[in-house]
Amino acid sequence: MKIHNLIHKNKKVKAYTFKVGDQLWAHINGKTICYTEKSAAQKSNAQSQKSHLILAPMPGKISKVNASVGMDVESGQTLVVMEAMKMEYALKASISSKVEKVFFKPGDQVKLGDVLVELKKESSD
Amino acid sequence: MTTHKIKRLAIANRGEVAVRIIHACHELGIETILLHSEADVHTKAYRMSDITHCIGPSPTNESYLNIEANIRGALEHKANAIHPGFGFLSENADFADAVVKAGMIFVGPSSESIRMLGDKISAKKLIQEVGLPCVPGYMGEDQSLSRLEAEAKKIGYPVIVKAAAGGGGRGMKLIRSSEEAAEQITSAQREALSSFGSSTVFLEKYLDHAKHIEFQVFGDSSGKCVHLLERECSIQRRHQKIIEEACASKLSDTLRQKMSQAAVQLAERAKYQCAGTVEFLVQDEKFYFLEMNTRLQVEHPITEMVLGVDLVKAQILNAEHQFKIWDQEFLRPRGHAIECRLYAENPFEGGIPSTGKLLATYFPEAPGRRYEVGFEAGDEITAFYDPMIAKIIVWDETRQRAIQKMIKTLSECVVFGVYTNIPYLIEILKHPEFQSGQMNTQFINQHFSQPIAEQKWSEDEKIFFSQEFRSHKSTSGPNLNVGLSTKEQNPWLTNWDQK
Repeated sequence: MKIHNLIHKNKKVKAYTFKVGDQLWAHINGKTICYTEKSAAQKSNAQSQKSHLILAPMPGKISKVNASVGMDVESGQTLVVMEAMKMEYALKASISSKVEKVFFKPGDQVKLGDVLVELKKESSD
Repeated sequence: MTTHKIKRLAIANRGEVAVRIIHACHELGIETILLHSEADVHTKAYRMSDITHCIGPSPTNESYLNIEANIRGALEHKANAIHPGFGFLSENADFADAVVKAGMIFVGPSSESIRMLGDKISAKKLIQEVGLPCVPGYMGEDQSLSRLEAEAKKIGYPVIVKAAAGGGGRGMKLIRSSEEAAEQITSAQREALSSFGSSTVFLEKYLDHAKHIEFQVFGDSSGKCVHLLERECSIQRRHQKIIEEACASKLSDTLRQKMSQAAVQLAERAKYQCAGTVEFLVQDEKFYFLEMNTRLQVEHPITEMVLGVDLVKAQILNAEHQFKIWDQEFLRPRGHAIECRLYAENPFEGGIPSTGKLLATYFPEAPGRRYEVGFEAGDEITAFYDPMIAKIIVWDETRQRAIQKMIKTLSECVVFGVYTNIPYLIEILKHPEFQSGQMNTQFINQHFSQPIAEQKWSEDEKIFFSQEFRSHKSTSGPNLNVGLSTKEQNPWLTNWDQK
């Protein structure tokens, strides 16, 4: 971790950074950021890689499924609600698309990384 | 010179509490054995413990919940005692029995106490025998839907259905009106059966603006019990505590007197030994027994800070029958302590767990700050266990000062590699209702149930990030002004520029 003793507009500011790969973790003025700069091409590529898949972010149980095959969904819409460690998590679509496949139903146990819902892939031009 | 019965203690737990127990043991000259899972090889407790023993694969039911593996591991390394920490097997009476049967000391209450108080229904019956008020409810054997529906109506909505074999906030459903009674009851029974092995449920009136106030109790081997005052834990998200305080700022002295007396009475009636916590809900100047936890609690440090005691050492010494219990008169609080639980989660995405390798951590020291940390740079936060990285505790002379100190402390803590709930905690601490002390258990539902707004960065801060990102140097050292032409003014000067 790199420690920065800075002066900003005549005031002392302490900052911390850690660079690894294409990520810069930084802490300054009481807030933390995971900062990255990607070229426009890199950004759109990363988006289309996995954005059509809703993955389980941790092992847990499916509570609700608000997606059915053929249904139109908007970016930000909750598709699956799952439960783990006493908490409930809403998993949302990151793109506007159509539901192609639903792999689990309420009550099912899932593992970290399991594909829960597959949306129609965005066509990349 | 006191000779310890316990020369070696095995810890059947993980994370920051394992570190806490190791500290207490080492200070008492006791060797430690860490009973850990495969995933927990890269943790602070593993590095600190004198001896480490792998009890199984990462999933909790194959390791931390495996009684046999824990006992075997402890015996293999000739442990004299086992400390179960909290959660996992700490309130499992069968585990307490197995430890004793294997010839070791269980650092906790007797299995009989655990059994009596662990079953929520038998605990409530004990409370009523002692004459303590309970949340109005129904705990009958008649588990038919018709009876349960009728009882719920009698209690008056809203009503909670709880799993008798559950606890710690799990297996609960809320019935808001008679229309949804049947659905919620049958759903609760189904979940109770699948999660806890028993479909038995009981009903309780839902107190919709209550404070969660719990009393720390401690019983010694002679049967004497004292209370160590209370903690308020009203800041909860889905029954999981996030922020706790000692003492409860809005609790009247009258209620404190009555409740502490009630807590001690219950502990003595149950012949309780070691550390325990009696939890209550307080609404409209009335208090109601919720449950008793027969173990050390996560938030024990705040009690230690306001009273100047060491609860873990007390537990260990008591287990050896070498503990001289505090005089009740000695236990007078000073100042105010607050604890925040630091979770690896993304508060901008509604608290979704953030897993990954910790790249760097920095918890700056200053007067009145205390950290209970389980993980350091290089350790991995996995999805196998709850994502608590550390606990941050502060003490100051007044509640207002303690709140300000906590906000300052949280702003200065650095965790790189995973997202944390620090921004979320700071928003809560700044909220006027929290600052007023008037909050109740509905606080999070009412004010913080949504993801918090993304952080805003100034243009200069963005320049700093961009500069640093492009500097290609990832080792420590002075910040070099690369990336900006000499004609541009760099808003960030380094201290080395000053002569």
